[in-house]
Amino acid sequence: MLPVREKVEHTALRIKFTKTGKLQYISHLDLHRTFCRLLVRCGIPVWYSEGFTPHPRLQFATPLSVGSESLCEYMDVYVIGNADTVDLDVMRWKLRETDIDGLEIKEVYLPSTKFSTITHSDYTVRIKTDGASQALAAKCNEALHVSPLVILKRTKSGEKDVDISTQIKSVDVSFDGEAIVIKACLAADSAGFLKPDYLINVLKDRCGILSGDVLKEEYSILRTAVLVGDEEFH
Amino acid sequence: MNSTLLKSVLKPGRYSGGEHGQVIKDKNDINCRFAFCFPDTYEIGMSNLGMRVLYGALNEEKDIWCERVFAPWLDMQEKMREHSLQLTALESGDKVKDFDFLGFTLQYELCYTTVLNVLDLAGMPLRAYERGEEFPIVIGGGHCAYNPEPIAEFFDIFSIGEGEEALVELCRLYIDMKKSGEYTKAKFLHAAAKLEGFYVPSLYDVSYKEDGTIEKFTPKYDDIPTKIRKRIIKDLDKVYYPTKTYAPYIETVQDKMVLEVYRGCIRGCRFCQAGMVCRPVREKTVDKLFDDAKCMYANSGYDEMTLSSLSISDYSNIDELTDKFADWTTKNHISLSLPSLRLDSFTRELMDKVSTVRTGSLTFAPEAGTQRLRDAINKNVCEEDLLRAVNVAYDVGKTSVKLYFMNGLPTETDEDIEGIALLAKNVIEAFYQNPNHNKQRRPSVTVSVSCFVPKPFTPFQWEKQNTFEELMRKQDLLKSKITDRKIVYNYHDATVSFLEAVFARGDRRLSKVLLKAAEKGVKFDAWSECFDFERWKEIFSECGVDPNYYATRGFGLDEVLPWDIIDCGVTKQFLLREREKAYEGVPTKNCREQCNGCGANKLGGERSCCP
Repeated sequence: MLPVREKVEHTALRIKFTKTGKLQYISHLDLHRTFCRLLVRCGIPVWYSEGFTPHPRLQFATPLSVGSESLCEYMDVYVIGNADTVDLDVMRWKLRETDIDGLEIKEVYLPSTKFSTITHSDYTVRIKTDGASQALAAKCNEALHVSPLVILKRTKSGEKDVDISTQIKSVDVSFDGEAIVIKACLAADSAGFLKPDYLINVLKDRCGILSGDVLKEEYSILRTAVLVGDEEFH
Repeated sequence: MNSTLLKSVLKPGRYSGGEHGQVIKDKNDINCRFAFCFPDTYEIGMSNLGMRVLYGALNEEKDIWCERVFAPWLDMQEKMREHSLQLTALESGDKVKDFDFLGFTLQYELCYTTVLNVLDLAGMPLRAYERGEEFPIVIGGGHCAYNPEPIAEFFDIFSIGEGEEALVELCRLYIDMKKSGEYTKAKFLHAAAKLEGFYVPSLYDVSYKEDGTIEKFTPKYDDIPTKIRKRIIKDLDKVYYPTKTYAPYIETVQDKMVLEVYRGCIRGCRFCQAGMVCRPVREKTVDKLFDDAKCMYANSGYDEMTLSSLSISDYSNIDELTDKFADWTTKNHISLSLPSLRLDSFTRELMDKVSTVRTGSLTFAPEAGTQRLRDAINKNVCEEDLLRAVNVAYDVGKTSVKLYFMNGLPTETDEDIEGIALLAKNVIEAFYQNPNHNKQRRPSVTVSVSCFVPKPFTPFQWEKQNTFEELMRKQDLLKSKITDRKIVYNYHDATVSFLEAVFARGDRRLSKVLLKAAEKGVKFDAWSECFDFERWKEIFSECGVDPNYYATRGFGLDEVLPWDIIDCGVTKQFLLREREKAYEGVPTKNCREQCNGCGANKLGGERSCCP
C-alpha cells in the first residue's frame, strides 16, 4: 500500500539561530516541532521525505539542555530545489522576522561542512549567589582547575564517577561586580560532551554557591560559540 | 517567574508562557482582566477547544484581556508553598487574585477538588461569601455547570450554555457598572442574574423536605428568573472562531488544529449528556469551514487537523467537506483525522480520504454487548454494522481494532456482559474469514469498558448507578469470559466512576465534603496517582454525608432535582418518554429522520434540523 511518490530534488539549507529567553525551557523535541511549524508559516518550500509518512527532515547541530540559552544554534533542513536554484535572498526574506520570542534567525546559507566536525562549545555562565566576590571567584576558579576532576554523572544506566577535566579545554572564573562569571570551552564531540551544568554542580558541592534563598539566587547558561578546533563552526 | 525555580521543576515549559499566538496587551488600555483557568495540568488544558474559543473571543475585545491559568503540577505546588508564592497567570505573570474575573471551565466532575486547590494557591478564600470586593468574581462554565449545585458555594456566577457571546456581555456589564460608579459586588451579581444564561447561586435559597430531597428553589429577588435558560450561538458561521490561536511549545495531549464542524447531535443516546445539552444541532457551512481551515493553517503551520463534533459522520455535507479538503490536505502534507466516527457510517470511501485512518488502529463504540441493550440505550447500531466496518479495515490490511463499551447500564444483565466477549470474539473471527486479511500479522482487539454514570439532563438521570462492588463483579465476569489472548481487556476504576456519579448528581450539601477534601489536600482526582478512594470514604464519613444517596439511589420521577433550576432546552417530559422507551427496549429515530419533540427547537438556530 506504499503510495507512489514523485522524487523531488532537494538540498540542505543551514540556519543559524538563537534560543534565548523563555525558549530555554523547551526541549530538543519541542524545538523540532516549533521549527517545523515556523518554516511552514514562513512559506519555506520544505522538502518532505518520500516514505510512508512524509515528514520534514530537520537536523540540529549540538544538543542544548533545557534551561540553557544559546546565541549560536545550527539546524539543517531540506528544501525543494538544488544548490543553483535555491534563492537564499528569498529564503532570508521569508525568515527575516520570526514570530517566536527568543528565536532570531542569524544566518541562512548552503552548508559545506558537517555537524560531526564540531569539537567544542564556548559558554558563559553567570551565577548570582550569596557572597559573590573576587575571593569566591578565585576559589571557584581553583576548584575547576583540579585534575582529575571527578564528578558523579547520572546516566540512563545508573550513576558513575567520571573525570571531566579532560573535557574542559579552558575555563576561567571571574567576578564582574555582581555575579560569578564562568567562561568555559567544553568538549562537544561524539567522544565526549560536557554540559556546563556539571561545572555549576562542582561549584555547588565544593564552593557552596547557590545554597541560599532560591528566589534571590539565579544562574544563567549561555552558549556563545560552536567550534571546530579553534575556528568558529560554519 | 523566578528562573531558578523554573529550572528545578519537571517540564518548566508548563509555566514559562511565551508561546506562539498568546495574547499580550498593554494594561493601560484594559478595563477588565479575565483569568481563564482550566483546572488541570497545562498539557490537558492547552488541548481544550472550549478554552481556546473563549480566550480568543474575549481577547477580540479591545479593552478586555484574557489570560491563561492552569493547575501547577505537584512538584511546582510544593515549591510554591515552600516559598509562599501565589498562583499567577501565564501571559503577564500577574497574581490571579488581582484580576477582575477568574473563570473556570468545568469539563469533568473530578476537577472540583482541583478548582478549590487553584483558589487556594491563588490566595483566595474558597467560599464565595468569604471573598470581599478585593477578590476577582469567580465564574464557572462548561458541561458540569449544567448541575452546578455541588460547587455552588464556591462560585459567584455560573455561565450556562455556550459562552462566546455571554461572557463578553458579562464583562461589558462589569465595565459599565465600574465606569458609572455604581459597582459593588452585590449589585453586579444581582444585575448579572438578570442577563440571559447566568446563574448566581447565592441569590437562590434551597429548602429540603424531611426525606432529604429538595423541596424547592426560591429566588431572593422577584426580578431574577426562576429557571436559568442556557445560551446558544444561533449562527455558527457568524460567531468568532479561533483561527489564530496559541500553540504550545511542549507536547500536550492534543496538539493539532481543531476545526469544529457543528454543535449538537442528532442521535440521542440515552446515557449521553453532551448529546442532550448541546441541542439543537447547528451546522457550519462547508465554505466557512474551508476558509477557517486555510486560515488556521497559515497562522499555525500545523500538519495535523482534526474535525471536531459529537459524531462527525452525521454532518449533512460530510462528503462535500472531505472532498473539498482532500486535495488541499494532500498538497500541504496535512493529515486529517475524523474522531467520533459511528460504525454504521464507516465506509471504504471515507477511509481512503482520511489519513489517520490509514495509519494506527481504528476505534468504534458499540457501547453495549447485545442488541437488546443497544436498543435500550438508543445506540442504533447492530452487529452487522460492526462486522461490515471491521471488514473494510481488514480489506486494506489493518489488524487492530479498539472497541468501547460501558458497564452498568440500566437494564443490563450478565448476558449483556457476556455479549461483549462474544462480540470481540466475532470481530477476531471476521479477520480470518476475510480473504484479504493481512497475512503477516495477527489481529488484535482492544476492549475498553467504562462504567455507566447517570448524568443530569439525560433519560437516565433518575437511574441508580450499580454499586462499585457490583461493577467490579461485572468486570471480573467479563475478564473470565475473555480467554483469547488476541483480545486485550481494559476497564475503568469503578470507584472513580462512583465519585463521578456522586458529584454529577449532587446538591449543595456536598460543598462541605469538597471543603473537607480541600483541607486534606485532595487534588487531581482524575489522575490515578492522586486518586485515593479510602481517603474519600473517610471524608464522606467525617462530614456525615452518605455518597450512596447521590450515586446508587434511584431518584424519584417526581422529585425536585438539583439541576431543575437549569433549562437546557430539552424538556423533562421528553426525557421521561425516552426513559420509558428504554425500558421497553424501543429505539428512537434520529432528529433528521423525525422530530421527537425534545423541546430544544425553542432555542432557535441556523442550519439546524429542527422543524
